Amino acid sequence: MNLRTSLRAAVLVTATLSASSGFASPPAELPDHTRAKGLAWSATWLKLVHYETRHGPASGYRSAISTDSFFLAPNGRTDPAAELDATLDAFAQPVGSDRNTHPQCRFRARYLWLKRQLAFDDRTFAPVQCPLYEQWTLGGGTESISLVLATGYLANPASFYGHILLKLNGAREVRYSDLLDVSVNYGAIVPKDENPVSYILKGALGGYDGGFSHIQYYFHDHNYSEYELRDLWEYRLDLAPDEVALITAHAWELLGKKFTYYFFRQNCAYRMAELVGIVEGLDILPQLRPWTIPQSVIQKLASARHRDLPLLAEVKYHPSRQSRFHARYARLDADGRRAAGRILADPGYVRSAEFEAASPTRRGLVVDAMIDYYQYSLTDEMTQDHPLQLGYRTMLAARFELPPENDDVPRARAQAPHTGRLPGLWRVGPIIEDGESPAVFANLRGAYYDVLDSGPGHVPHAALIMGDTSVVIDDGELHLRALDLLRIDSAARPFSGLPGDGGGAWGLRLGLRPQNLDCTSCLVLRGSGARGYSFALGPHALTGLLFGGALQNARNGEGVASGELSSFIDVTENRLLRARVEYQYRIPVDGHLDERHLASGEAIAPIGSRWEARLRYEKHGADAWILTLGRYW
Amino acid sequence: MSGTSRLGAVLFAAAFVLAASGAAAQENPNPPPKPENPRSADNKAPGSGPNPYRDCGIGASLFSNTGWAAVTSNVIWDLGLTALTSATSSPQTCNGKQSKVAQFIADTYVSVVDETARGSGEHLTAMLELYECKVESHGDIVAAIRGEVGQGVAAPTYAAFTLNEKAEQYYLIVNRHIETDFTQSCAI
Repeated sequence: MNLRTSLRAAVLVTATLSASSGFASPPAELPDHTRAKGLAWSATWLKLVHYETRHGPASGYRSAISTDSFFLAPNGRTDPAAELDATLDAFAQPVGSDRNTHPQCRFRARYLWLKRQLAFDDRTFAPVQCPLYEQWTLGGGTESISLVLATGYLANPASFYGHILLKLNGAREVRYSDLLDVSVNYGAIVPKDENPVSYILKGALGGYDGGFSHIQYYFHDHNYSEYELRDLWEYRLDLAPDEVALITAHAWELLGKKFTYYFFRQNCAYRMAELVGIVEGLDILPQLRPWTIPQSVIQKLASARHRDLPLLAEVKYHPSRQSRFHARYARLDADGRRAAGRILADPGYVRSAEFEAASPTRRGLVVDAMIDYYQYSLTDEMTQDHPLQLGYRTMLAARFELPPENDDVPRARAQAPHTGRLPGLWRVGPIIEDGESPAVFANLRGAYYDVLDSGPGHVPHAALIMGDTSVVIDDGELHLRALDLLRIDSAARPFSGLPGDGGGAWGLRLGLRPQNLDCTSCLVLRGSGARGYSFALGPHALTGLLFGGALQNARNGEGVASGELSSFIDVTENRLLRARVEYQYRIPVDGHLDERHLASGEAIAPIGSRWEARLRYEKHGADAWILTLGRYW
Repeated sequence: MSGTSRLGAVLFAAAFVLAASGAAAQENPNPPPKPENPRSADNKAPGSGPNPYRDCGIGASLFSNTGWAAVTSNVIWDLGLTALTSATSSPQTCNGKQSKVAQFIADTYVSVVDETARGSGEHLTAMLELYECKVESHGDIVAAIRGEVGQGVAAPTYAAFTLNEKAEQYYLIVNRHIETDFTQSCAI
């Protein structure tokens, strides 16, 4: 007979005696065993222990957590009822030498939730003080919860789609600055010297453990803002105090526990949505998809309601150093921009009579912008005698000589990611190839955006596409026309015209493409890469020139390797119509190429927020016209 | 930078700090015994605390360059519980408040010094919160340190300092001002 059963028997005897003898009220009853059993199959308990449906175990469940210490029952990993029984037993354990290791402290969320569900009080289980937990939560001073979205970063495969972390916001009576708030992060546990190929394969196929870690928010803020130049968008949730406490407590329970990390589905966005979803009735995890995109979680959060109120309480923008520079530079008038150019040529200009003739405020605007420019442009490899280092030091010293000003960074130019469109796209419409009769063209893109349909939350003037599949239905037969396994295009639009501020372009593609439009059934597996330059053409257009190469499987006498010279013109600043024209010249390295010239033109017209019309012309030997109606999903 | 020139730069920085503050050691008629290891935190006189950069290994090392893989985002290197800032430990130990401030400055130096130049900012607020300074005193503290920090930035030797040395210089200025002029406003 275990402790709980013994105590229950004692309670029943006591209750019987007191009822018959008129004694004082019996002690508080232990949690009702029958009711506790029922709770083992409740949605919240299953979420607290991260049970997932599985065919193998008798219970039909297996926890996603692999760390043994997360379970109190020997079979707790696969038996929700046994784990709940063991949890209740564990709460009654005597306190050892380190109270922080007591189950009431280690499993704080379980304790809070079971206490509420079973209505047990401090007489049922003597409450244990948890000093480390109290310190972590600022003595219960966590006032609210935010999800923080870091925008996508094309230089790192793990960051293509952005990242989400959790911030525990201290009450402002306790915390003046949210930089010291606790942040909770979920990521893959990767060996330090991992190579890129292993990194991508293991990340996609579950070859890594994943886990939660915590650090003060300033760590992430500084890294994203200063090193990766990524904006942060903070989404504060409107939650009741007990809901904030439950999420906080569950985050505590998960620290140091391991999951299997899957880059596409059970990634940071998934686990953060799962963590927040511990609150009953709160669901921000996009369902029925084989992947979880951080922006999709944020979009669902922004449109969700909780307790009949909008779940989203507030959106705060934390611009990167680059974004702050752009905002400050945009604020400069023509004279200010001329001064910035003079400073760049000679930082000593900041001490010239001409510059000092301006008011301290006007000088401060220029110097502040240039401080951001220099910091954004500096790299770790630049020694202290590099001109940019000299320029930065000169500007910094000059700023100290100017009066302090409460210089708020100008309002964000970027639109919040939750206002963007849904990540997937399907399109269908007629295709006319080489003057033949029309056939049906259909395209399905799982994620994410191309240059023409990119928007809030996406990297501007870029394409990030995975699993884009095009088919043609002609005379009742279905043909695969193309498959983009991966396509990344990036062109940084020059903003200020200052060196290093935009102007680069690169691309990476891998997939099945037709050798040309003259042949049928001539798909080749082709991988290509290119680098080059981009230039602004007025305020509405961008052009670029790239040099690269490609490898493909040999077919129909064509060679394996070729060089590529590509150019493009994008008109994407117009909301009504966005267009792109591309030209490519291929140079065979081995063998021959039947067709060396490729050209295409494409234009889309948004129809509301979920539809688009798209017209495309392409020529690669023969030509093709494609008109589609598309819907984002 | 060679070891000799580095030592020279550090000594110059220390001399600069002392000269700029105008502080002169007051003779103590009954000086304490000279500690065997003057750089050991345990041998510091009460109230002086360690120099976190020298005695506790504080350094701007959180943002290591891992090449093509970002140090944060979807990748974490281990699940060790990272020590959080705590203002509860004795100031004489390396877990004290001043060490936390020193670590914060080391980690966010470019932001801290930029905001000091501008006169305000969230990193300054966070730094002074670590010192438990009353929010109404923040402006005065920043005004008090701004001139001296600016002089340090403008000094010819500043360019030769490593990031850690710059952070240490900044920390010493802030810490001295708070210990000297703002004891009523901050929980030193």
